[in-house]
Amino acid sequence: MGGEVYKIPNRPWWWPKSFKFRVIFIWVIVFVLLMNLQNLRVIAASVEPFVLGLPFSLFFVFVLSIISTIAIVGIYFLWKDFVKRTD
Amino acid sequence: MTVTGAVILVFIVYVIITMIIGYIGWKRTKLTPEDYFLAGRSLGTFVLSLTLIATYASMWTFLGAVGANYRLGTSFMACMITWNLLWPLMIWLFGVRIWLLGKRFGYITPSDMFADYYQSEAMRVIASIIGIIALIPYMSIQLLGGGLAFEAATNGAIPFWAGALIMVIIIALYTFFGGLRAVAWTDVLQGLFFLIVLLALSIWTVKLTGGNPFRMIAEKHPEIFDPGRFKWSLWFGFIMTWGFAPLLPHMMQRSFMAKSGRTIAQSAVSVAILSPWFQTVTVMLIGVSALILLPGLKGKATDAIIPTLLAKYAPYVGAIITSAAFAAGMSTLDSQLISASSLITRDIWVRYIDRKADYKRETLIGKVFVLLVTVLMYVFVLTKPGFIVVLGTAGAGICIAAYIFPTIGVLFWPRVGKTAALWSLIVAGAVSFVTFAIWKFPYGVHNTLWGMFAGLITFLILTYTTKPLPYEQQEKFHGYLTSVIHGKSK
Repeated sequence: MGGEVYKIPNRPWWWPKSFKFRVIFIWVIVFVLLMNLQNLRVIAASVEPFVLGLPFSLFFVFVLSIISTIAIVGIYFLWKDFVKRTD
Repeated sequence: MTVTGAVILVFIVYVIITMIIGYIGWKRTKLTPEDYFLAGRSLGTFVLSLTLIATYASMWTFLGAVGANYRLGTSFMACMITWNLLWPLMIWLFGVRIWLLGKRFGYITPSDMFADYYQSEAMRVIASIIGIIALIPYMSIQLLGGGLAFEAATNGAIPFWAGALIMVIIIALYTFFGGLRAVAWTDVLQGLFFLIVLLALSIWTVKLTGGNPFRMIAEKHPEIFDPGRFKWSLWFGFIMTWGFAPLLPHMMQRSFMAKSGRTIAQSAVSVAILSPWFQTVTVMLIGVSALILLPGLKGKATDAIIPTLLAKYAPYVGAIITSAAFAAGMSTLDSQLISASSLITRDIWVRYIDRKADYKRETLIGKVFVLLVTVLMYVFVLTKPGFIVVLGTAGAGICIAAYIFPTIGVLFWPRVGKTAALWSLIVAGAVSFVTFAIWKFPYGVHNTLWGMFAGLITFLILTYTTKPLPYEQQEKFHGYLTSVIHGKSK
């Protein structure tokens, strides 16, 4: 735009440009890995202790999920400039 | 009034409301492909959010996922909430870029985008064929669920084939006339309806257990906490399939339909709340409570837990729930029908068979294909194929495995050339099809993963060993995306 010349980025295509998005990117990978612990003996068999009426394994899943929901909602606020540009 | 009578009465009321919405959609639809297939790229946040969630959540959620929670316990729950948090992220990652390109270059189908970017008609045809092949089993599970729900709620008075037929006729009618605008508006009604019903149903089933169902399960069915009930290889396959669902043709077209980037962004936020917390948790609560209320169910009977539960505890409420199950299925099926029709019409028929077709004729042909696909799907579903969960995921997986690498090339990685994109599409599609239809889930690994693995190897080798696209072509797309997304050239 504005006559500027497009340059092919020299970072890997899958690596986010800004620091904040890099943190979210890393969290997504950690999230999927941690959720998979549910399927491993580490967490899956942990029924006790019950926390907030939930067996520990489910409580673990919910805590991770809440953090991830907040991260997704947070992207909207991180990317406000972009959102404005598309109106 | 008998239970069967109540089911039919509630269903008729539901159908009348749906038809009225479909009629209004029809009156506002112009005879152009953009209007018929994409509602004129005019959807705002509210409609887009609900059509996304209604299209994503289907009979699969209402019947199949409840059954899977019942059979597989907490490891399935963890899997389901993971993919329900991933797909809103994918709307951010892929959806906004797809919208930008769709708006700028006038794309109607994903194949339009692939063919234009890679300058390859072969890409267009093969991507369309893969999309259609993948959509058929996925569409069929909606009908399968509809037939099962009707049969269970009426204790067999309305047999499976008749329930599925009723569903087919209603959808074909409003989709044929109203196009995507009717589909999106009915999705709003259907999405709200089934989310509210799921929420009410989960509260009711937990109350029915008379306590904390998790405590009871820990005592009566501790096996549902056993690790490995849902094997890792399938676990990951499900996450890769449903987490990347925004790449399915009917979901990708939802990105084309948005009014602005803002509407996509706000819709991603909405579905990040609705999908994991209103859809996944409610389904899990119903599945877990059913372990106490309906112990000992096995196999396909677990796909009909909700209707069976209601037939036993609240037969008349079952009439409403059956309609909600239909709503879940119809809202997905109608979108897939429109998408399948657009793939055949836009990418194959008017390009290679009827090249002189004007917009009006093209729209009419699209409508005819809506009817033809409907008939084909109904015939397929009469064979009562497989488990709802397995069938839906495997079908969707074929398309996602095939589409993911060419999409990465269009949206993120300028180095990818035509050969790499085309062959990754073919290899991933073929491998995921063979590992589902011929050699099912070899070594217990899901067909999506087989397809993605084969596609990735092909994609990487050919990307680094064959020519990239001309610089002008890269600049046209990636330069534009970079300038809008980052606000300047970089």
